Amino acid sequence: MGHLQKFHEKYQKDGLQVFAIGVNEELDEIRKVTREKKWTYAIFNGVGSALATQYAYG
Amino acid sequence: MLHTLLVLGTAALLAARIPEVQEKEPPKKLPEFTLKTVEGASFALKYEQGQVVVEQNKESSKPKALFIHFFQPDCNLCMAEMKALETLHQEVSKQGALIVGVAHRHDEEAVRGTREKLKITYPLLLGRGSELAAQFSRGDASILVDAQGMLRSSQVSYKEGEEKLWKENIERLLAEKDLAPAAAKREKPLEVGDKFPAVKLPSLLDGKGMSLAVEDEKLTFRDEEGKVIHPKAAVGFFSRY
Repeated sequence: MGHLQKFHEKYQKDGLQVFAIGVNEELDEIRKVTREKKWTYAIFNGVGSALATQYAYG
Repeated sequence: MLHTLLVLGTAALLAARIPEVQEKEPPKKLPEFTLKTVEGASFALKYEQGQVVVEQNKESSKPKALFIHFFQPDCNLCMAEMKALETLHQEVSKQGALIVGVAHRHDEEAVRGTREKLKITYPLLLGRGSELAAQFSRGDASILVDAQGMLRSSQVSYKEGEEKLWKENIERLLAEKDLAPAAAKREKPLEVGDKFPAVKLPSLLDGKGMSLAVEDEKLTFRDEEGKVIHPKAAVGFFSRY
């Protein structure tokens, strides 16, 4: 996810939107790391959404 | 952390799966099964026209959400989770959700003792040696499946307070109507050229930050001030911790 922050900073001005979707229950971990690392790209709560099971394989 | 990186276009979508997981993943769809309850009755899960049907005590029901907890009676976290699940069961069972416990290592006597000690009223199944337990149990583990039997979330272990999230997820499934047909189709991996589906997601950061939606067939990001962003392209990352 750290690499995505660099990607976000480099290409946002060109019209690229970087985003992440949390898809399991341990969202607090993601929130904590996001704040610690000061990531600024969009992060969404996708737990339980159809989108998560359609697109997340890992 | 297990993850998949997807490269998304606004109209078309290119996907590249990065296989990082070496262990066998549980199936995406809950298989049919029949197990005994701790009371000795039969509990069967079947599919009829793509919908989950549960038969127990000679009665059948079609749960809109099914939460299955794989537990061990000698596990303290499991016991704490079962207490929370009993409370949740009292809250959501009348709305069409079903909570079930599956004992995957212990015998009937141990499970009965647990039920009596914790005053559990949701079904407890004897799953030791079953295919279901082999596929899904990871010690203390839980899965949530929808009305089509598709796995919607899963977790290993339990932390106090997580039941709030479970309730939110269950209620989200109970409220789903239009997503059901899409859910029933999502067994094949994503194909190049697939459109990004209709979606509306809140920010993860306590409601702050951007929201995401598909509006007029456009991937639409909206910041806290309501400013709309239609990107030329987007990179999406699905994160499991």
